[in-house]
Formats: sequence, structure tokens, C-alpha cells
Amino acid sequence: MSPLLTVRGLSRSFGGVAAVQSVDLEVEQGTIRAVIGPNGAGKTTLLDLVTGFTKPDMGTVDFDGHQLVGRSPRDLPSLGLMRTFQSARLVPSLTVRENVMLGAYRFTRARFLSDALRLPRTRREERELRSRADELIGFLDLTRFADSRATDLPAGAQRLVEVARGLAGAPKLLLLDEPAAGLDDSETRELADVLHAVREGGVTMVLIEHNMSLVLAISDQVTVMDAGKVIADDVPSTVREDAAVRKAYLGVAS
Amino acid sequence: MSDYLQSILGGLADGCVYALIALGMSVIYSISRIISLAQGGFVVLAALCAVSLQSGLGISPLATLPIMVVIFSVGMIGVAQIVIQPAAKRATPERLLLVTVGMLQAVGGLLLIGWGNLPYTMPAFTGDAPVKVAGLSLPTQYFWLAGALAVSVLGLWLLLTKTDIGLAMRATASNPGAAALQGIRVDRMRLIAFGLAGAMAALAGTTIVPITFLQFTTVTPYAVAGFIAAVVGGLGSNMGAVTGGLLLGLLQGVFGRYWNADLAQLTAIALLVAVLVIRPQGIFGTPERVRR
Amino acid sequence: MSAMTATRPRARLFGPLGVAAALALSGCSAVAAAEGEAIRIGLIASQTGPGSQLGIGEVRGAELAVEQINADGGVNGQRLELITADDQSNPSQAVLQARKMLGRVDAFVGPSTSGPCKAIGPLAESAQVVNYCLSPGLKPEPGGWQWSASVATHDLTSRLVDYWKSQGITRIGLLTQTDSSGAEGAESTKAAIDAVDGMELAGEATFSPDAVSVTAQLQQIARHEPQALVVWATGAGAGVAFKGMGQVGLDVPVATTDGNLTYAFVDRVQNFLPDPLLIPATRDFWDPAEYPNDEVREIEANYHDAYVAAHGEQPDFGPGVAYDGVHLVAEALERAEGDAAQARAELEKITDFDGVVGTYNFSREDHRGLAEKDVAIVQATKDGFEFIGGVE
Repeated sequence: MSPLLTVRGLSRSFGGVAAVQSVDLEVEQGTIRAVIGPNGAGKTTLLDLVTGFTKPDMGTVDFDGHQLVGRSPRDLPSLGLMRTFQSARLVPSLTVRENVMLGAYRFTRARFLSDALRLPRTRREERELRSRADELIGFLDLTRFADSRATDLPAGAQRLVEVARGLAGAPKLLLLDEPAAGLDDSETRELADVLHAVREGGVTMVLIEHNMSLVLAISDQVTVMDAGKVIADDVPSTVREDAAVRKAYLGVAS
Repeated sequence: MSDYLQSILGGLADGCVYALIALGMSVIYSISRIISLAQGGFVVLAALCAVSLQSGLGISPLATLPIMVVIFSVGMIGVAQIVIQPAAKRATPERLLLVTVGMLQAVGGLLLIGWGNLPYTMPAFTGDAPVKVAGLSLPTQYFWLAGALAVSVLGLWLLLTKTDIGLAMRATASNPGAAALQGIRVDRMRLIAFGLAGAMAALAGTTIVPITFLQFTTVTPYAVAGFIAAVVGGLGSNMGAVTGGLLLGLLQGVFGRYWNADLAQLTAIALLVAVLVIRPQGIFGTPERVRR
Repeated sequence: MSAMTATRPRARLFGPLGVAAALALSGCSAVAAAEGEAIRIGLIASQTGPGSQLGIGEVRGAELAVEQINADGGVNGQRLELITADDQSNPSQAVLQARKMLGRVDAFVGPSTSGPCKAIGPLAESAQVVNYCLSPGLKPEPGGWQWSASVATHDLTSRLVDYWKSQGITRIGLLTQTDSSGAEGAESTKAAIDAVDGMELAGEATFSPDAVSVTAQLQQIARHEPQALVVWATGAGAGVAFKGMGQVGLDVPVATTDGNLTYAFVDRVQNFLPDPLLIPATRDFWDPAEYPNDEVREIEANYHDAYVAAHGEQPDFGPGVAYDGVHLVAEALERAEGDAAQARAELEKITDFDGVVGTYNFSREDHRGLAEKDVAIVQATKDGFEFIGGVE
């Protein structure tokens, strides 16, 4: 079975500085892949290249049989690829529930006229959308925020809303950009449980993360980046012992 | 007392029209950040089209209403698709304002060519005899006018809060970039907004013309009154647009009892503009909308 | 029934467009022919824009006058040519068009409305070319180069008040639109009421031109129990007022401005016409029986018949003033032997000149030449305008 996501030779430089340098990456179906590395290692740039926010200078991104390079980020939800952001991009004036409902927007088949006339199908869809959103909100322990304006939440909670929104889209692949930043230890543990359960549900994930305990707890495979290059790519236990990794990233931590 | 109330009623009738124009502008603005002054022109265009339909084809005045609503919502989507969206991709907001002013002029010119410099009216939807209530004379058409406004407000509210297209429209209004990332087709949402504004223009024009006479010169005063109502209410706020419109009409009507109509209009506008000094975002506007 | 109550023009959706196009064509040919030995009059009229209702008729009236003058041997044997231009109802366009014509024309006729007239005044002064403005709203300076057409507003209102007094009406309500013509109408009506013993103002209100309804204003006036009402407003404003009268049940005679002396307007408001709707009007709207003498009768018949023959409808307000304007200016140029600079002095000397609008008596002080004697009251009916009376 071929990998769900295959990145080949992906490169991008900004003003002569190579932010991402011929990165290869394969993510197997149903696994969690963590990408770690020090600040400025090129992790978020890699995510931006995969999702079309930044155009690569070179390389290819193959997702579920689709070539992603050259596509607009807004085309990805319909392919089954959702992502979250380091600083959450929620819709400001909508509530948490409404933001999560938006994630499933592409599934609604009702069209304007039936919406305007409030036909039964529309109402049924609306009801289903809402209950699915509430389910996900409960799953991520955000129920107490459901009716708050999304952007009034603390940054950490906003990222969780993004996770819920991403899941609402029933993605094949979910790309998470530092979902645990700003969460305390117990919250992080909860998040680990959630992501675990998500994987059990068959969703493949790529996780960019600083929090090593989270990474080591949940990922199946870890990619380590430094100065735009992949310096290691292995299972968590091996990566933890890798000398280059320890030097580049874990040096102080170990 | 009764003719004091009559002044208020007359003012509110004006206010209903202003409110419908402002509501159309508000819907367009909130979703596409375009101030469409042409909305005032489309109201008069819809009115005169309805008159011609009624007198030319012998259709009953009430039956012209749904016909106009369909024609104008589809027509506005066409106008938005052909003129406004392409312009919006290139022009700055200030230039885009000029585009809509140009459209307003064009509508005025079209009216002059098509209908001449003459006033037009048509019979009321349901009988010409006014209802007498407590010494007040209420043309039945007033009820239709108030109904048109109520239907627009309620329908818009239901659409925006109770349907998923409405959710997508609100998301687009709030942050088009974030909305697009969820797979919402922002351009389509904007077209829907123009379609809604077209429907409102048709509602306003067709419902008001039996009460009054309209001609091409009415285009600009309507655009200005609707714009002031929308800004004072808080650009992009639908409640604000309605409040601003009704307030403007009401103040004009009440002041008109004591002063010359021009002075009354000026005072009403000045009073509302004073609101903007205290609340720059308008009565119902949110500050972030002003900054943006 | 007057001779003027012939066919009403039907409301045609795209009529004005065709007319404008035809006029544009005829304007071009006039310019092309404007070479060689000829006396030339430059006509600036609002053929498009808000003033087009006037301007289109004015061009027709002026063309008719030129045709007739040339058929009668021209001006001192020279051909009279008309160069027309459209000011688009816009003062700056009027100046632009007038400037283009300077040096090519021996006199100006037009523009159609007071704004553009005022705008080209300085040009006429500095170039020393006679300008017969077609708007009654202009108040020409004594000894200046500008003239004003038709009768002044105060002569209209004065004749109206006299007429109502003769009918035993003493209490007059006043409803005016807040534009320049409405303001002048209000002022003149009040002055006319003040000037006549026993007449009083019974209620007064104003409304803006975009008002949806004026029932509140009408009720305010109705409280003063007027026996008659002056509605000084044109177009939609007048329509809104007439409609409102029915709504508040104010059923009294109404008089309105001569700006509403158009068949098209009466056609539009025919279902809401007050009974009666009176308009103080100049001689071209009177009953032939009321004309002072046979000479005038012949002039009027000549004008009306030729106009109806050419256009299939009776002339309304615009054509008459332009027709007279061209005749007056041509007369002055003839007396000045084609010397444009002398035309002013000659025009000021013209007295007892019978036109279709009235009998003109110019002087250095009076550049209008018409007075209250040239006004009578007509009634607007579904079939046109009917002479009512008020002639001395």
C-alpha cells in the first residue's frame, strides 16, 4: 500500500536562505508522523509548502493520488486534507460551535434556494451538522466554550477548536501545527489521548510539535529537521538516541 | 395629536424605504466590503420596471412584486459577476466606490432614456382607499411596505443564523481568508449577497411606488439617504441599517412639521452624523469593522 | 374646449431615445451647413438630462422659427442658420458649448434652465453677444447682454391670486418643493397674497423632492381650512402632492407652476388630477377666442399648425419660448443689419412685438418684455389644457 502523503525533494529558499532543502517525507496511512526541530528549522515552512500557502522552488507533494503543488489551500478540504495553524485562524465573529460547523461545510449539499426556503432537507442537514459539531466539541473538552466567540478564547483553546474544526471535515490527513503550545501538562495529556483516539478512528496525522513528551507519547514516526534539512527520520525511541538529534535539538534537554 | 402621528407615519414610510436600501447596502458591504451606492438606483429602476409591467402587460400590481424580486436578484448577481467582482479584483476600495457611483449614474441615465423625465406610479396592491384608524389615514400600502421590511429583516436573519449557507456567509463576512480555507467559495457567497440586495431593491421599489411618484431624479437622494442610514447604523450591521433608516425617516418627518423640509432633512442628517462623533462605528457597528 | 386640446402624446417607453438621436443628427447637419454668408444663431438646449423635457421641445420650436424666417426671405435676405448644442442640463457643459460657438454665431438662444443660463452670462457679456436665455428663472441685469424668456414667477402667481379673488376664494394654502423653483414660487405666491386686499395665506408647508409622501404636510395645511391650494412643484413632487390630497381628503382647487404645462406630465398624473388643476399660462396655451386681435390669432395658428404638422402633437412649454426667442433675436439682427454687437441695442428697442408666448415690450431695464397681461389661467384636464379665464 502506497503512503498517503509522499513528499519528494521539496525545496524553498527565501532571499538566498534555504528554509527547506530537498526534504523527502512519507506518511503511511493511519499513522501519526511528528516533525520536530529547533526554531527556524523549517517545520512550518514545510507545512506551508505541502498545503499550498507557499509555493516550492522545487519538489513534488503527492497526496492520495493528487499532486498538491500548485493547488490553492482552499482546494484541500475537498480532497480530505485539513490543517491547523500555530496562531489559530478561526472566524472571529462566529462562536466556537459555528467555527467547528464550518469545518464540515463542504459536506452540506443544500443549495441557496433550499436554504432560503428552509426546506426539510436543509433543516435536517443543519441539525446533523450542529450535533456533529457538538460531539467534536465535547470530544476536545471545549463544551463550556461552545457558545463563546471563538477568538475570545485563550490561544491554546483556539488551537483545539481548530483541531475540532479540522476533524469536522472528516479528513484523511490532518496537519497539526503545534497543537499543544500554551497547554499545561494535564491538558497536553488529554490532547495526547484525543489524538490517539483520532488515529484509532483512521485519521492520518502530521504533527509539528515542540513538546517532546507529547511527540514521544503518540507518534509512530518522527522526522527531525535542522536548518531546513531532514537530519533524522525514524521511530521515536531511535530518534531519541540519535547523536545528531541530541546535538541539534535535544542537546540541553537530555 | 392625530396629525402629529400622521407626520410620524409619513416619516416612517420614508424610513422603511431608506431602511431597505440601507439593508441592501449593508448585506453587500458586510460580505464584500463594497459600498454599493447603486442600490438607491436599483430601487427606482425596480419601481419603474414594475410600473411598466403593470401598465404594459396588465399584470396586477401585487403580482409584479415576485416577478421583480426574481428579475432583480438574478440581475444583480449578473451585475456583480460582470462588473463588480472583476473590478474588485483590481481596484482599491475607494476606486470601487467610484465604480458604484458610476453605476448609480448609469441607472439614472437608463431611467431617463427608458422612462423620460416623468413621474410614475401604479395602483396600490390592495385597494386605493386608506384605512381610517383613530383619525389617522393609513394607505393600505403602508402595511405592505412595513411587511416588505419585516420580511427582509426576518428572512435575512433566518438565512444567516439558521442555515449553513448563512453560516458560510457570516464566515465570509467576518474573515474571507479563514472562510476560504474551510472550502467556502467566497466569491459565490458575495454573489449571493448581491442577489439578496437585488431582491431587497425590488421589494422596496415595487412596494413604495404605489404610495408615491418616482422618477429618475429620485435615484441620488435615495442612494444618499440609504448610505447615511447604513453608516449611522453601523456599516455591515443589518440591525443598524434598519434602525438608521427608520430613524432618518422619522426625524425628517417630525422636524418637517416645524421647519422647511430641507432644513428638517439637514437637521436629521446632522443629528445622525453627530452619532458618529460619539460612536464612530455607528449605532450597532463594531469597532473592528471601522478599523478594517 | 380650446384649440390646444388636441391629441395627447401617448407615453412611449423608448420615445425620448429616438427623439434625442434624431436631434443629434439634425444638429450635426446644421453645423456642417454653417458656412458661407449666413446669420447664425447658436441654440444651447438641454437635450439630455433632467432638462431634456424642455430642451427637446425648444429645439423643435427654434427649428420651426428658423424654417419660417428663411421661407419669408431670411434676415435681410441672408439665410438664417441654427447651430444647436446639448448642454446635458449641466452648467459647465453649457459654458463649454457656448465657448465652442463663440465667433461662429451672431447670438445665443438658450440654455434651457436657469443654472446653465447663469453660467454662460459672463461669456455673453465679455464677448458682447446677445443671449436670449430660455429659462424664466433668470433675472437679467438692466443693460446687460442676457434676456430672459416667458413671464416672471411673480406675474404668474399674481394673476393666479387675482383670478381666485374673482372666484370668491380668499384663503390660499401653499405647499412647495424645496428646490430653487419651489422656493421662488413660495416667495412669489406669498407676495401676491400680501398685495391683494382680503386674501390670506391659510397654511404653508414644504417637502423635499424625494419625499415618499406629503400627507403629513397636507394635513397640516388642511387644519387651516384653505379654499384653494398652490402646489409649486414639478415632476414626481407634484404627483406625490396630488396623490396625497386624495389620501387626506383635501378637495379644493389646486394651482401649480407652468413648469407642469406638458402633456406628458398631465398624462402621468391623470388619475390623480385635482379638480380643477389650474396653471397660470402664457398665450400659447390660451383659447384662440381670447387673443387680443386677428394678427395674434394668425401668428398663433401659424405656429400651432406648423408644429402639429411637423410633430403630430401640440407644443407645450418649451417650443413657444424658443420659437419667440429665435424670432426676437432674428428681428434684432435684422434691424442691426447683421452686426452682432449692435443687436443688443436693437433688441432693447423692440416693443409691441407679437410672439406666440405674449406681446413683447423690451427696454434697457426690461429684458423680459412680458408681464402679467400675458398670463391667463388654464385648467389641466385628461384631454389637455383648457382655457379658464383671467384675461384683463
